[in-house]
Amino acid sequence: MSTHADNAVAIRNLSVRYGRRLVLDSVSLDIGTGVTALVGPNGSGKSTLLRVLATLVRIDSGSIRMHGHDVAGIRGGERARELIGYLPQDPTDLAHLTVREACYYSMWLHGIRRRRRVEQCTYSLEELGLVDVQGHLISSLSGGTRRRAYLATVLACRPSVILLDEPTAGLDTAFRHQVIAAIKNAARESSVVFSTHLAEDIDGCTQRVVALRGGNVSFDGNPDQLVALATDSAIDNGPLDRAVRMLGKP
Amino acid sequence: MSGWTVSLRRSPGRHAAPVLFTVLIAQVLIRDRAWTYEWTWALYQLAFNTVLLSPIVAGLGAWEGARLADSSDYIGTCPRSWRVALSAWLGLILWTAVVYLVGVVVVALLVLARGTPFGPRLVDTLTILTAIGLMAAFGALGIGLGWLIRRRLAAAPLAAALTFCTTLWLYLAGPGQFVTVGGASGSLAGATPNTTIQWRQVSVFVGISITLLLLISRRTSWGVRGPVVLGLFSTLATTIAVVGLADAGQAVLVPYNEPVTCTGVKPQVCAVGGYARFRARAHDDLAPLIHALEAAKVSPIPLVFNQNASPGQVLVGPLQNRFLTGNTSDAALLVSAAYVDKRCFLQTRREDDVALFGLQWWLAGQVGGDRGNADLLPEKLTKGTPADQAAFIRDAVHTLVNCYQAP
Repeated sequence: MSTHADNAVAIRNLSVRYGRRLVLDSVSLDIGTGVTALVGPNGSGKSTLLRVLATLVRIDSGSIRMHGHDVAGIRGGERARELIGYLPQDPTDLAHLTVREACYYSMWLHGIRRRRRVEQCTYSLEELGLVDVQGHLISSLSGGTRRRAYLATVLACRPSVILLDEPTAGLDTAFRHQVIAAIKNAARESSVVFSTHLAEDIDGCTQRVVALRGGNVSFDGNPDQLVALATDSAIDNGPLDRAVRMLGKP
Repeated sequence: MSGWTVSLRRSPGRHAAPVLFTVLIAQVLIRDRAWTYEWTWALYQLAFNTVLLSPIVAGLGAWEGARLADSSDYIGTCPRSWRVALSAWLGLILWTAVVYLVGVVVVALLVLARGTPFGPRLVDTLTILTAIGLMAAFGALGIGLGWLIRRRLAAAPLAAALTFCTTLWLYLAGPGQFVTVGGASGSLAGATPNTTIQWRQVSVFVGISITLLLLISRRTSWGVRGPVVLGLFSTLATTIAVVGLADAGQAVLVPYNEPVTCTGVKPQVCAVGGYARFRARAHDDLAPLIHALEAAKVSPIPLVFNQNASPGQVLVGPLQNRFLTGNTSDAALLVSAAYVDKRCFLQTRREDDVALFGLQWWLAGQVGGDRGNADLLPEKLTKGTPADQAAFIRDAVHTLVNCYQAP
């Protein structure tokens, strides 16, 4: 576990319940600049952790500090939202806007000044190959293009902490590479936390993988360490893939 | 491009604007257009459209509210989430206001086309403001309802139906001043919208809108602190405004001594604004009757006819819009009305009835008009000499001036 003082996000003994069910159980993590991949089986708490960091779910115990602000507090929550960019697993918002309008709208909500909006939005649209569809309504786009459009609205705001819930789900190989490249680019100045089930997303993209199982951190290390853990020889799609699949087993 | 612009461009109000406008214009064109002689009446009558437009606006608001609720994950992570509900509401209300203001222009053109000189007053601006304010409040209610229900296809018709029923209930059974921002079946010459109520209405509508939007903003994120203080203040201010409006009573129209301009002598004819150009013709229609009364040595004689006068003022006769704008056969009725106080119970005493009908029969005969049935009238009048008739008319006028009145 990293314990650097300049960590963007410091999570301590975080627990979250949905009713009686304990979804996150005493999770402690430090997240700094760069890419952190969250892996784990369905229901392991990946999306909940991202939603907690995105200030959408209140915590039951523990603490989260984001750039020094207590995310669980009212004032700290407000400050944290200034820093956050969040892409939910299945976004439906802004579908009535064109891609460029959604980009501008998102930046306007984040308080980005008018002069910077055009420049940053254009950069994100180009980066994700959306220039040709920038005038199309998001609702009219195919699933993969829509996903990239939503990602563009997040990245265009250039938030300090980028939280992406399965950003590459449903994307074909070419688009996935485009998205991964955009994530790596954003991670040069921001902390990116993304959840995934795909080894290809981790390979060459991140130096840190956090695995969750039953609401606990079951692994926190780099991809090589993760590969070393993979012992299931029945799967022959490469060592990293084996490791991710192993972690993905319920 | 700002979020305000985006919200305005993509508002459901923009797509529904042609529907709103069609409803508005249909209501204006289908109805009788007697209001085209009066600016205040014209704009007050236009404001009655809120009964039809408010449910549509509330339905659109609910559609928008349900859409926002659908995006709550996105909104909840945004630092300025209050802007979302506010911009959605503003987009809707601005389009509604644009439609309404185009309606105002259409009505103004119809009034000008009638030949009525340009002359809306400050109170007419207030009428427009209250109409838009009412729709704004219902729009905010719709957004709130949509946010709660979260299903567009259910929320929109429900909000529309609720708004329509609430409006009707308040009009018919409840404190009408909360929704009555316009609508007059007759002329408003001599009356004016009650500005005290109008200002209080504006306060209530603005207060309700702001409070609802703050409540919605509060629900968008658990950690939004600002709207709590503002929300408490807004709720308190709105409550005070509601109590103030309830306290103002239901007299949405109050008497108004509108300035008149007069022309001619025996009689002098005085009319307000848009009717002033009919004074000369009215004088020509009334003058023979006044001369006939004079010749019959009747006293007193109404030597002035004023649009602001009430029946029974004797020396000042009333003027009806219908007569002024062309129905000249009413001249005898108007002259006789000058002698009949509105407190008279004419059907209680037979001599009052005979006096009134006799006077009208005689006056109509002086100008060759239709006299009507003379069965009830005495022969002294119907078959008597001019001197007998003059004596009857003098007695009739005396009887009417001293009519039986309720104790």
